[in-house]
Amino acid sequence: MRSASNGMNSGRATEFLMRLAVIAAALLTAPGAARADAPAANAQSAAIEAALPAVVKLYGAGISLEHGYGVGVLISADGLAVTALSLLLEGTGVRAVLHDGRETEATVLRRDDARQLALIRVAGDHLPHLELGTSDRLLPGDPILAMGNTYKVAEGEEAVSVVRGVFSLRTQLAARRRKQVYHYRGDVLLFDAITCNPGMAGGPLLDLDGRFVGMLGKIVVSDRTNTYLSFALPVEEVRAFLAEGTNGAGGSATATQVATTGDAPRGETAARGGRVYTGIRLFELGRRKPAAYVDRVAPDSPAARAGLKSDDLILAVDGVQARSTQELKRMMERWTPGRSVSLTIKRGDQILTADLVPDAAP
Amino acid sequence: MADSPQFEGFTATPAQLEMVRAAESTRVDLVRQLAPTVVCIFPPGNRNGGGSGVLIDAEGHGLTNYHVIASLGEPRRGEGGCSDGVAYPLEVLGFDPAGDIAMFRLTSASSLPFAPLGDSAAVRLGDESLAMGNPFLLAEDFQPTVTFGIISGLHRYLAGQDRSLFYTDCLEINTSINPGNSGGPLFDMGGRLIGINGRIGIEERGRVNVGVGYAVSMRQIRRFIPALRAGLVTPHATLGATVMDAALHRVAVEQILESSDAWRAGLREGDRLNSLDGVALRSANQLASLVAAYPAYWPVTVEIERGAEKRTLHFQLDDLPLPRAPRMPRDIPEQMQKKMIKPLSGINWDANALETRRTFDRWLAAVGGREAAASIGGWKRFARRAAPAAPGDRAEAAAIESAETAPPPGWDRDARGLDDDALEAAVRLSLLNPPAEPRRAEWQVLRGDEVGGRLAIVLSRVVQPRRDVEVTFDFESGELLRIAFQSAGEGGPRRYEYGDVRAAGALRLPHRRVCFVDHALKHEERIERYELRTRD
Repeated sequence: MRSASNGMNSGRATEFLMRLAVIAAALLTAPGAARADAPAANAQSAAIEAALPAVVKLYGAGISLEHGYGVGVLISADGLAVTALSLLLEGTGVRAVLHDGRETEATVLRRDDARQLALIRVAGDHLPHLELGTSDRLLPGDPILAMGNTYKVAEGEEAVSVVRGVFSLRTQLAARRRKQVYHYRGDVLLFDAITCNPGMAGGPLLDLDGRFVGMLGKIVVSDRTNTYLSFALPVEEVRAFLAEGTNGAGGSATATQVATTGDAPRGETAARGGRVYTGIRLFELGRRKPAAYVDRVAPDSPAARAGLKSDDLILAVDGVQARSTQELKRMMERWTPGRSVSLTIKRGDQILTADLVPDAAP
Repeated sequence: MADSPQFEGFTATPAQLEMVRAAESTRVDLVRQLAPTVVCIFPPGNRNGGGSGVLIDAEGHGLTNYHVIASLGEPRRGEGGCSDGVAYPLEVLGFDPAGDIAMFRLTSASSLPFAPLGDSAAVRLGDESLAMGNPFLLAEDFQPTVTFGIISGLHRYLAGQDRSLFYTDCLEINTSINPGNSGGPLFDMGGRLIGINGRIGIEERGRVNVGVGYAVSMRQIRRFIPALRAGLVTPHATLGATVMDAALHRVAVEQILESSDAWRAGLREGDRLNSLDGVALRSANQLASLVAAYPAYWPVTVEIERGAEKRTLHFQLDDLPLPRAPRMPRDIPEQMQKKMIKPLSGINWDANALETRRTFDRWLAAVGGREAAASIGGWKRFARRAAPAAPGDRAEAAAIESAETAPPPGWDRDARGLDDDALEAAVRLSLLNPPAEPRRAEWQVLRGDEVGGRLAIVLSRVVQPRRDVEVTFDFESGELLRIAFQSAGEGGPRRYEYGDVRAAGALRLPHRRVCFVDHALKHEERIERYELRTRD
């Protein structure tokens, strides 16, 4: 255990500053200089160029405000793609247009009403595709890129629209879609780029290194502010949706065929998503949103090894604030067995940090 | 934060912080430098509506959207507020309803700051951009609003309405633009003008930014600038043929008008179109989007494939009809009609006369000065003439010698006695002494053009009876590039193209002259020397 004043998470800080520095390099370029040489422009262009070919334009059924177009993200070379569940998939046929302008038929393999996701197969092989990344490394303030076919302005082999923004926070939605409640209650990613436009849902959210970290959601209106809200599902939800398919029901589709990246070694994907053991028991009583006090620490558990004690208040995980027991639990669901997390703890008057390495759930 | 290397508990190295600060101040400096080039456009004495514009030269010429100035009507006056807080008188020059572009000029005693023109063809997807203008007319002091974002899409096509406001081969941006931004500049991060912001995606929303904006590309606007300056209304181009996707990435001619120049050049039904001005053609829609961004009559180079044969064709694009001019509503009491704004009519003849004069000024500077030119009364040319298969090819050359004299005043009222070569000589020599105040019945700017990749301006020289001559100058340098007219003998088009400009006595004259009859090369002359004769 070390003192927090050492500065937690200095690796992230450096990465953040390096990104700023990279952007700086682009701006410093003098007028008239060849900007193709600027490293930042290259980093961003490289991310865009790498991801664009994996975005397929989809055309299907549409009625009035349900637009008959959207996009999907190819996740395997043999044509598996994920997209947002929408009416366009429910017609007699779905037409997919690949990045090079080729037109093919798409078939729907599986639907997920809760997450509003669908898995489709596009005819073709050796297709460019994206690997599923991880969203938990995104920090508020990180630049993000989003892609989709806004107002179906791109057709044939034309590149879809790319927008850039800044990641704001991970939260839950309280939203409506038209007159109906939007039921999805899991985590979503919010950012300042405007993606709540027709044709964007199902497109990829990328970090500035071009990693696939989320899938753009449908057009919704916030219950609290009555304004349109742009959001993305964390890519972990996509991964969980794909993993469910391997446990029996529906299409032989196949999370195992799907390449994944992130820090977790391959094959561990299925173990992610709430299947860690820490040995921490949190206070559950009292107010509706109690602060994340540790009630008990199991002996010889990962928490005990990290030096956690009863009555510690857990303030933050990897620098991201945990405002309540519920919030901390949701964060825990994204922990990976064997991968260290840095906890910021209040004990008495002291602020401390502890590195905890969770075990796999028994 | 500026004083402390701490950043929410993170530490940065001094070098990293230095880079970030330098980037910030570069951007701030860029905005400070560009803001004075932005214009807030209003109707005269009225702040209830308006748009934006950007100055592109020291004479006060600026670009905006057609839809911004269309409501100004006749007599084409408005106000242009600059960041110095002054609202300068604004006059509308030429406009381009189909491309949604218009040119204006601010009247100012001092020279105004202006933005350098950039190259939208070099813009890449994801590049950063700055938009400036007057969204929601917030700039009471004419200090423009600045927004920052990226290029979201390239080569977009957005249909217009009633033959106007088509955005073809345009830029899509997520840089925030709103009502009032119309006509304002889109800059790259080198501070160069790459587009004019004009349109936003608003489906299902109010008229506000939804993260999807469109800018007319500078590549398109550049071709229209000569005509816009000259106060002309320029129609857009069409191929004169319909095209189809014969297969994936295979564009072919479906039907072609026999009256089109493309037909004249040899384009036929079924021909595969491989490229247009060096841009590889991949779909019929792409070709339609590209062609619509050209002005009518613009010269293009098209590579085609017919069976196993590959050919390169050069021809002029056809013209699309202009949108119907807005008309006064009928059945309105005369009293009210007087109060209503008169819709914009066609050509601004004052601007046309000014541009004619400017062209002469440039031409005289290029040829060696007004006085030196006016002193010449004729010349003797010693040349070697050849008739190669293509310009520049080797062929047997014969020595020729010809003496030409400046025509007497009033020659242009009856040129019946002149053959083609004599008419060319008369026009060239009379150009050495152009009128100081050209009259519209004598000279006018006809259109912009491109000759050998150089932006050009075409003037029409009225010669009676019905032998009008088109004289083309380089738009920047004023160099004489071409003289064209209908042949007296053969009846078809005849044109002379000039090059290799070098000193000849007191003047700088072309030492290559190529003659075409009916678009076919007739002969090419290499002029060895001129013997200049002063005016008597």
